[in-house]
Amino acid sequence: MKPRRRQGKGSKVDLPAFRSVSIHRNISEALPAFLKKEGLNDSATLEALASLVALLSNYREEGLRLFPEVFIFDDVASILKTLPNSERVIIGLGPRKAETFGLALKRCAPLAQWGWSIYILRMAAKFEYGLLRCGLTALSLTASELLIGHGDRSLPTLLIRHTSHHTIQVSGAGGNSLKIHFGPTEQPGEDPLRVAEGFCKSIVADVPEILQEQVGNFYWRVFSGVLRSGHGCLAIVLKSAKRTLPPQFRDGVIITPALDIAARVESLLKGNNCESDTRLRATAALIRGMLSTDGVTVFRADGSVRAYNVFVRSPETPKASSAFGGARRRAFKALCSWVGRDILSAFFLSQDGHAEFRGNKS
Amino acid sequence: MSSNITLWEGSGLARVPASATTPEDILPHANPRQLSGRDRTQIIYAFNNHSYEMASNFIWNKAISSLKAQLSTLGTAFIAEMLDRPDIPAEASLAQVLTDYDALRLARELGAVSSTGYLRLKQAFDRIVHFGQLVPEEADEVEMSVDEAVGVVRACVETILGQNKIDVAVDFKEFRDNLESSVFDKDAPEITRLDDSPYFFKRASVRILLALIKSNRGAQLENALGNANLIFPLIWAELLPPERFQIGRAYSEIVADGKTQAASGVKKILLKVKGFDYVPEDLRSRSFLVAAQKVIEAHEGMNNFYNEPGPTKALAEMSSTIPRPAFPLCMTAALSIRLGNAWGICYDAQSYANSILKRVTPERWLFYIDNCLRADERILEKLIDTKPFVRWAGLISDFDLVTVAEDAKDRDVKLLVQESRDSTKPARAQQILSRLLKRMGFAIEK
Repeated sequence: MKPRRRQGKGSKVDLPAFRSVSIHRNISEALPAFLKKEGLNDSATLEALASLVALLSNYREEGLRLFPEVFIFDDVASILKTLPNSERVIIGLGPRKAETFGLALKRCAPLAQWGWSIYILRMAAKFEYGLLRCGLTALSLTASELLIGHGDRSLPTLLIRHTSHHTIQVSGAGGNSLKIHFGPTEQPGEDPLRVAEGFCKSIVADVPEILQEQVGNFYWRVFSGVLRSGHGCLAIVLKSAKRTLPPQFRDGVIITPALDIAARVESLLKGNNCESDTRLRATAALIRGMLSTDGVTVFRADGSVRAYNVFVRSPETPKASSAFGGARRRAFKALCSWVGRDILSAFFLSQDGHAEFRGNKS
Repeated sequence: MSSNITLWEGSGLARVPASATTPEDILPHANPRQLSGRDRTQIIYAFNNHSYEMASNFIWNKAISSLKAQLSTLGTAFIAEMLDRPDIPAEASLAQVLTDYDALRLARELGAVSSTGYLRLKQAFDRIVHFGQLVPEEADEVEMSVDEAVGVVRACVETILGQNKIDVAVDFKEFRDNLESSVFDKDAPEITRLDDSPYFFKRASVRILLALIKSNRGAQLENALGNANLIFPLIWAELLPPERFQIGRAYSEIVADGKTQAASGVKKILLKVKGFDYVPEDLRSRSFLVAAQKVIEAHEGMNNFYNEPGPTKALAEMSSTIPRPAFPLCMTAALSIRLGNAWGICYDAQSYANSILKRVTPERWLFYIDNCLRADERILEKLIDTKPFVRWAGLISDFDLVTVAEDAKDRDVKLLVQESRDSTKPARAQQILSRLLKRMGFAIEK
């Protein structure tokens, strides 16, 4: 083989570079400080958690995408005591290694639905895994709300879950949170969860004060499910004074009579019976379905659902309208132009998880 | 620790001269807005016709309805919490769900009637209940006497119908309002006084705060939570299990109702006091509480000797083990049936009550004696009367409670059990009973 001629002094040649970039490394670098703040740092957890996040990013069973919530904690007895009406199903036990987290996901993820979440208990020499749930009705506060949203440092807990189709959030009882994006682009703008929260506040703006919190929680759970689904959506809130649908929102499926969520919540709070609970859960599924269809879902500020699959025509002339964005974004732009007049607020969620809100939050 | 310090004073009595011994003398002291001229005429007419029981029932119903109407202005949820009655739904009519005895207890606790007024009304109530349950043949033989009927009329006029308006004590109102309008400083005089108060006031404070936390929102909720965060840890060591379970149950209910802010606040308090052992694990205890409440309602209502067997049987057949959160109330229910009242017991309900009590282990008997009995005024008040005290002595012997009570930490309840062995010598036990009621904050009056 002929030796390569040496290049003259000063001349540069780009040698082929072979670099390996791993998202696993990025996650591993971000986690130690986070775990330390949450009081759950050790090397086994760090390694296992990094691998869990990567596994969860696109977890499928039988081709079906799954979005389980995973809790990690040390003191299961105290944790369960803070969760009224809770249940725990132990599934397995394994060494304190990343493989155990993987096995836990494999065995538990298909079961983690209808209110069940995966838990991983850090024991002295092992990881125990299984499922837990809590609450009595569709209105009961969830394990994530009690352990993380209103968590306490004295009960160190981590929650790993999808906040949108391409985003996983690791949050702790100490209030720290780490967001990991797996999408094609890093999402700009406000946190989609906060955006959805603002929209939910707008939906319940005129709900009687005594029911506002519960109806707001109901919608918040519906929207957090929609955020994870990977389907974009458009929704608006009509002012309560609007008894009939404004003309521009009549090209769709009008629900008559409107779905009165506040009445259903009130019925459950008063009766606390199985029938009211089933009705409310079934209604949540219905609204999730509506939000997953094309077009705009129309709510009113008294918490009711008025229409879905509504198509709107942009008030702008075709020439003036920007070519930027798809049909959904352009429709959102049209909706924004009506905020303050016929409508109280508008919500946009793109397929890649970007969310926007326009209007008054309360 | 002074047990004379009180947070709120009960209303005084309407002045009815001691020399007033007939309805004609007493009734003019009734307020015309509470008892019309026509009502008075009818009562006097009934007396003149020797229908003493009818007249007593009539005036009692007038008085107790007026009392319940006034209490209902405080709100159903508040009343339910003050009575620790989770079975009362928020939309319930208090006139229908509140027993007469509950109304009397509550009136005393809120300072709507004085302790003397309470005692007289309770005696009048017992009298009416007794004569109301006699079978026709018995009723013909043992009629209510004129003196007994006059006693009922006097108690009703003095305590309720003679008042312009039955209202809760001003001090109580202020205390309640302050608990929701501002957050007390730990050195505030109200907090210092509460710390030094008899148990009854501490229990009432817990119940008021829980009612406020469950029903308020916004700034009022924040204030109530702030005060609970100060007061509950301060008095937690002294709180007995029934009150601790009430706080635990409140947390469970708030979580089930999806009240985020309230749940977060109560959770912080429970973490602070390490009180999560008092949160019910499931709904089972609630079913027991409702069943026990039905027994108590039957026992304290009219025709109790006929109405007690059904609910007592239901409670006895529920399960062999009573869940811990419901245990104190189930014991109160079973003991109420077993001890009966000043007039006797319901024979048909005894086997059910005994079957509940027989399943109580010595450890649980000790738990009840040491941690519940001293604040169980329903049972303590029964022991003031001779007949229930004699039956109490029988119970002590049947279940060998003297041996059980040897391990009790509370000196007074231990002594009460020991001194109740011999029903023919009740003096010492009555002294201890008096001391226990005083510790609770209720003066014993004969």
